Amino acid sequence: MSALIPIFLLNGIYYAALLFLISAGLTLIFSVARILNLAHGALFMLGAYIASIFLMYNDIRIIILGFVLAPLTIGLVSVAIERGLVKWIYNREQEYQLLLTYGLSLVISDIVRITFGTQPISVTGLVNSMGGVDILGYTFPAYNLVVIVAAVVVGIVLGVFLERTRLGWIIRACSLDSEMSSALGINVNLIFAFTFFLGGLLAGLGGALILPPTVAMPGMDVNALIESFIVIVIGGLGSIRGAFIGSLIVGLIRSFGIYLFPEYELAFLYIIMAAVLLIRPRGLFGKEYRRV
Amino acid sequence: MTILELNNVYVDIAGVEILRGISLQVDEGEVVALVGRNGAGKTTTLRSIIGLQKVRSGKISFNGMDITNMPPYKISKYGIGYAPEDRKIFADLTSYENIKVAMKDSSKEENILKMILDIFPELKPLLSRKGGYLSGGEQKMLCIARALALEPRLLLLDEPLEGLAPVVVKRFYSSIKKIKEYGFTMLIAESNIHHVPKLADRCYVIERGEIIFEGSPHDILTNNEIAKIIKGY
Repeated sequence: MSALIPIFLLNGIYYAALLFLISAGLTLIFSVARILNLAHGALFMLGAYIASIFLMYNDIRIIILGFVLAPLTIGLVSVAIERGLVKWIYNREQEYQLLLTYGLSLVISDIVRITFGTQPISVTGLVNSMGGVDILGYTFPAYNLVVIVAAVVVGIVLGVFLERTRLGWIIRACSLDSEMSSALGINVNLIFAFTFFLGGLLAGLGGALILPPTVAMPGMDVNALIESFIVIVIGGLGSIRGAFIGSLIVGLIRSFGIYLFPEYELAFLYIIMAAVLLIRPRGLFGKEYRRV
Repeated sequence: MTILELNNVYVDIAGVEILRGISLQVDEGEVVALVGRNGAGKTTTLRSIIGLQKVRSGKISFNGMDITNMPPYKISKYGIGYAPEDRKIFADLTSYENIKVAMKDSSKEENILKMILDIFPELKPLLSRKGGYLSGGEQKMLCIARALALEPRLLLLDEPLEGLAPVVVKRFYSSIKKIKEYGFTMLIAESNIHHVPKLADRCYVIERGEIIFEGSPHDILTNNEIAKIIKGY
């Protein structure tokens, strides 16, 4: 077992990297716009499908284009959803946003089924061509290492953007008090739309990155959404740092759990989530939220 | 020159008429106090000017432009700064970040910061401290500093002295005087009649959503009937 620890660790970090990309977008949108976007998983799935159009080619330039265009497209779809639908329910009760975003997730799922069919789409060429890296006698897919590095880079860029730039401060100001931000000359609607773009971008990137070693298929949105919720409940709703730590916890538990207690691996995640909810309802790094 | 004019402004909140035909004007360079007891409609008046409260009827003009029911961010960009009574500091942002968020023109950062620290030198060592860790008085300073960072032509201050210790209140008198020296026009909502002469050139008295008196601060202090209404006894 001890010899396998580095591999379980890397598998866990790889899974955490993907979860972080999805949950960071979800939590960012919630922290700024106070919208719990149940369509986020469907956007992640749409990102995987759009990426599949490009990733089925063997030309590295087209593949890279896929990794750029899929997130951008999902970012724009996310903005269109915010401007076209979500903005009308900002001041309504939470039930409206849950109904709307859940309805949207069903619509996006159906659009995906109609457009791409119901058969899983596999594009493993990239993973195969990248080969593996030898780690302590075990071969770890080089692609997975790239995903880990990509997520770390995204996390750092996002952190620096939010903590060190004026636009980042403005986004944080809007998340703390949108009314006061507006009185200080900030176009809050524009910031909400931008946040949805960022959230969609991250979901699309997650969808594109998860595709090569797995498949794009109907239903992948539900799993992604549920696990993202576990991540942000543990890490704290609205906290990017919480999404990072929550993803690591969930990723590592899943990785080690599959080997150590495969029958209870998912149950164990829910038990941890329930424990966090009982002991610290706002999560490890979460804040208490009020609508302003 | 009149910079702000409210003409017969009516505001309802949750079906209750809060402002009943308010009319007032503020000239450039003036410090005008809107005096009244709690619940008289001072905060609602300021919130209506900045666009945070919907106006049912009437007109608010700023610099000759109709700003009635415009989005707050546009009104702010036209040159009105607002410092609310409850400060509304962004607790997770440092003092510097709070100020910088409001700054429209980064190229003027040095000059704006210099002016702010001249008015509130106490903020200098606090620039890197998060807003949530400041005392009430420090938050009041930061709140006004943040509004000043907009370089507004008109500054709306809602109860700037509320909840401050007497020694700090004296300190704020000189700050507000200094803000005036910098040429800012101010409309100050104030419930304590005794602060008014030290703050304002001219004042309006508001009671139950109506302007019932207009005059100099001295006029208010010497008018027993008005003083009684404001004090409530």
